[in-house]
Amino acid sequence: MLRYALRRAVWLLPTLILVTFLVYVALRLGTDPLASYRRTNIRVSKKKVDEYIAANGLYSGAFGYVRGYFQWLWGFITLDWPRSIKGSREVWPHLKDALANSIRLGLVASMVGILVGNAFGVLAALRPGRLRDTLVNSGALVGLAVPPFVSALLLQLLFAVYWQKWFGYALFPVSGVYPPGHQGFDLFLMIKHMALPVVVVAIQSIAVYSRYMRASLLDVLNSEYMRTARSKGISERRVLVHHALRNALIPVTTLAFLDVGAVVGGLIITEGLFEYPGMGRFFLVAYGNGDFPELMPWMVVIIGSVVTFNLLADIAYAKLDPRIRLG
Amino acid sequence: MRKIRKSTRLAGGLLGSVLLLAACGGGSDSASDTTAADGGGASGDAAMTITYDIADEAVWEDGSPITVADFQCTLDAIMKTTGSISTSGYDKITSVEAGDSDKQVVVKFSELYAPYKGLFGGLIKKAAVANCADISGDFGTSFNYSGTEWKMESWSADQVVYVPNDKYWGPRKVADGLKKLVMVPRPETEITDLKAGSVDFIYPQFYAGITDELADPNVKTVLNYGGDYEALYMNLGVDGKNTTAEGEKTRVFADAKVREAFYKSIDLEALFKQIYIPIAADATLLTCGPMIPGQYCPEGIFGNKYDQKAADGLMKDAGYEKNAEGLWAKDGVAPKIEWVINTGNVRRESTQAYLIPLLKKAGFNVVAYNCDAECYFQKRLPGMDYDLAMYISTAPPDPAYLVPSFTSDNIPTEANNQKGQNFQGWANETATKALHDSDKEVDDAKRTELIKTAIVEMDKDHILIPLFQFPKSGAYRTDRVDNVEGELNNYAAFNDTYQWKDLDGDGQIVIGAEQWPGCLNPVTECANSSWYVWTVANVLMPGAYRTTNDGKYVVTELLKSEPKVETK
Amino acid sequence: MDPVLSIKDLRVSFRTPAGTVQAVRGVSLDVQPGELVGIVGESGSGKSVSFLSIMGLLPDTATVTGSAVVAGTEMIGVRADQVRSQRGKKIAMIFQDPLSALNPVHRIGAQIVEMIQAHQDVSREAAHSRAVELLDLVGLPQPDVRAKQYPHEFSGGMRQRVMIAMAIANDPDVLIADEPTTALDVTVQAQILEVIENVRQQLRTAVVFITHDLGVVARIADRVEVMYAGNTAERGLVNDIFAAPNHPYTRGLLSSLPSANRERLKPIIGAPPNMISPPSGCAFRARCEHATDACASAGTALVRVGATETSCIRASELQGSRQ
Repeated sequence: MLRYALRRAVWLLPTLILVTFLVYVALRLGTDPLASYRRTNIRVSKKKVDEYIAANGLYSGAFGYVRGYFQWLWGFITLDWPRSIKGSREVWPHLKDALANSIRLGLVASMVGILVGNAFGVLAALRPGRLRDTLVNSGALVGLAVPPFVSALLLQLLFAVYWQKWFGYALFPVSGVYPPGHQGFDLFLMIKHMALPVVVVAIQSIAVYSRYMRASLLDVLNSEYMRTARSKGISERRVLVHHALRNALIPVTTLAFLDVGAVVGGLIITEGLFEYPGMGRFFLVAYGNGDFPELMPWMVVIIGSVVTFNLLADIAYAKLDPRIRLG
Repeated sequence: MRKIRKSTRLAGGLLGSVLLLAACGGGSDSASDTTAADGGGASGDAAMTITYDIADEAVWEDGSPITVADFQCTLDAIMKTTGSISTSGYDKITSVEAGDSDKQVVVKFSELYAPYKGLFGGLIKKAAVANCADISGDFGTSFNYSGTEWKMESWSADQVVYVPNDKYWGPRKVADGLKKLVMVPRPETEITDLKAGSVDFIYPQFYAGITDELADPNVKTVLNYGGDYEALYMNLGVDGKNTTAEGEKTRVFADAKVREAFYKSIDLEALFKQIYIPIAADATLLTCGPMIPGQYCPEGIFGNKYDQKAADGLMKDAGYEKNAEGLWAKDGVAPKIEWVINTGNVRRESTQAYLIPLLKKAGFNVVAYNCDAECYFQKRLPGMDYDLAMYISTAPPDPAYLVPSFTSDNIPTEANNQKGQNFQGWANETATKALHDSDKEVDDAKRTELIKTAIVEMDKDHILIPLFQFPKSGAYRTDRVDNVEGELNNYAAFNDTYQWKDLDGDGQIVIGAEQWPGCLNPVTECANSSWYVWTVANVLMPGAYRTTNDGKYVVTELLKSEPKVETK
Repeated sequence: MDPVLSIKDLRVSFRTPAGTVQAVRGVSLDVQPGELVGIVGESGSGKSVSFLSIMGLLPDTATVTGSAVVAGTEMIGVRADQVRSQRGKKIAMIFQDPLSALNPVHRIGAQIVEMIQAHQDVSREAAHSRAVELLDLVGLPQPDVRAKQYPHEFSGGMRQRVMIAMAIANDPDVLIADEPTTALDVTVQAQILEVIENVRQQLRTAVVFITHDLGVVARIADRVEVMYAGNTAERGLVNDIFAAPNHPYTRGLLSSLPSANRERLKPIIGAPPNMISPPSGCAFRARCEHATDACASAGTALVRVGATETSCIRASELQGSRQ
């Protein structure tokens, strides 16, 4: 296992380099950083443009892309990141804030979704076709069918707009990370501001996990080895936990790892609905500005996370299922 | 609803900003040579000299006096910073020198420059930047100075916080008890935020139904007709064609007869009833051209010219015949008229849905050529890749903004290094001369006549179809703030925050911003956003003049008196 | 000697959307200690269901009545935990498909240890060494190594040996083998049969061997119980059944068996009856060439005819007409 993990980790590097290279090429073609630079610096002289090209490795031609990529990569590794094109700002402080905000929101929402969703899935699968199964199933369908902007709107109306109308204050804020004007860290306020977006995201992931867990567990419950387990005369609890859940969790765990890995990408829709300054917003703004120096680190963070969590998912899968031979 | 609002907003924002720049310095980049303004120079025979007397007590936030050096730095930064978005007006300055003392600024111009009141609207503090000749790397994460009643306490992607500037010398003292002015980006949730009480004031772009959405016992909505107007614009091309991403396209509207026939094929009254009356019942058709009603608006032009017979005659004169499908065709080809709007904007989509069938019936082969706001305003429009466009502009008080958009030397081409915003390709000698002359005419009455002359030419040439003066809307919580309606119509919004009343006594007023500039540099592209000007530049930068709610320029407390203007 | 398993009038029905399926319709059977009884019948004859019901392993949709006493303990109509306490201890079961009968995520040893610890208060280590012994007993080479492996590392035959080892872990009085060789290759079948035979010899465990394969029964069973449509059609010592079957169904089964001195197989025509509304009288009569009107009102009671007991009312008349 360790050897496998190491070998995969060794492969991680070339994978990252290849993928970031492809992204580098795609982003350079897609955003044309030189054009963005010229647009932002309309009166710029030829000499300045040449300097900018040299400083940022924006050479043309196939070889120029490769050379430019490695120049970018070296700058990235040595933490000598180019400044944003718009506003000429350092990228890391802003990216770091967005990343922290997204991870916080994403992790909490994922955890809620995974725990509650799986619990619902188990409840439903243990009594298939009965009332609680029907409730969980139809609940999950509704959860999946209701788009985030609808649930966000309803929650905002109830807990903020109407609460304000009825009681003179909003129970949960509708936007931001902190109240306007607040500075510094405050756990309570932070949780308050995260409440509604977490619910909106969690509704979806609860729906996904409850369905996924239900299907997975039903599959296991119908398998022959469950009959074998029962034939041993062990307690039903042990049958369910040790035999059924243990098997049903295998695919669910993999999904959970992949989900958590995608958290750093932010939630473009939900972050928009709650004016939450996370990675999704970061991307939208950077993309709107054609800001290559901001988009590359964003991409690297996401690719890194996705690739790493894919590896972790594989390892977890192999750890949980001995039939998977790592090699 | 959300989506519509957003695109409407973007439309206004992006284009509005082009015109908005005049507040800080002029409408466009008409600089022919970036080094024209190098200090010193031949000052003896200046065509115009303006002398500004800075108030003795005028100081920066650190107590240091505001002097001629700051005027010089401002000129340098605007003229020499590579990313400077607009040098117009400043490029005519030959020198900025101290007069009797460093509190007197003598500015010399190479030629007459009528809209001079727009100059030095936002001073750059010399001590705050490393090098006045290139400030593109400054203002990365904070705006570190102020010469107004506010100063910036912090700025981030989430909020900007202003606190009273205790060194401020002027009459605009921040109201007692008001300790913080906070602006937060709320493009998606501003209305919900206002109703939920997390922001006190919003300034949303108007759209149909907004008053209903804002209905709440504690919220008051105010509508005002400001400088926003919507129109249809025709693209004449450069010599009748443009090179686009899809190859070279010939422009059917290059022919004046076709433009006139097209204008006369649209029943504007019917269109107005269909599209604008439902938005604002008391609205009237705009007839001023690219201009809101006022002193510069000529009488008896534009308006509804619907006359199908005359239109048919014009088309025949232009050499067109109706083909088998009933479309106007020349040499067997019925030219496509590509009409671009931003997708998702319901009002504009309804306009297309209403007009295209009618225009087809009239014989014009109009097709929707829509794309998202970014593609529309950053690619198609500047790239002149359209035949017909529909958008909103925000006009500043001074008509100088017409120069970059309607003079022939401002048609962006390879030859002029893509300079200018005349994206219609309109080259009219009379109008170009009148507009350039208006830039040099200091006499107000004569200047008005020149502007009117240019607008009359637009009408004669049928290059645009003005539609509607768009209302500005502001909304606020009556239980939280008061005295906020005074400057709603001002081109520079939130101009009077110092006298806003904080009713709930928490010491802060929160403005929900519909757009967030994302950066702070006052001369680079950052400033290319009306919301930047409103939320940063206007709040902090002292200037010679400021605009009033009724669209005039008044001298500010920075100066002792009205500057002395001498011409040759 | 007291029977180690005594079944009386066992009836099992299932509620289904289509109606109630009467899977077992009054089966009675005694199994003596150390005896190997073969239960033969087509799919759907109720042979597996009968014994799953005794184990308490049927789903909630099943209704079970009657009586089944395993080594003095009633298994039908009693509290679930009473059944559970006997399950795996006095009566154990091995299943048809060894490939899916073992939990894929647990080690072989652990699965046997779980069985042991469910009924015996022994340490994990003791249980583990017992598991290794059991694996050795069922003929698994290198049992100590194999105990640490996972099911997917075993062949089908090996897995069935593991299942047997697990089933006999608590030295049960009765071992139910539900078609244990059906899913296996012929050569492996023989080995498994041998293991079962060994277990019976060494542990004196009574074995109920459920199969549709008369050939297998002929090799290992002491007695045979032929089931048809939820009832016993015929029972007798294995030699008697093979030599002189009295029920037309038994005869049909035998003649569909490949044999050296017969040129052609003779299949039984038709299909088993629908058990939602089983026919009255003899359930086999629709497929029986000897059926008469009397068969329609025949009971299910077994009558001794010759060396066997049969439910066929025409058994004695047909004795002479044997071909």
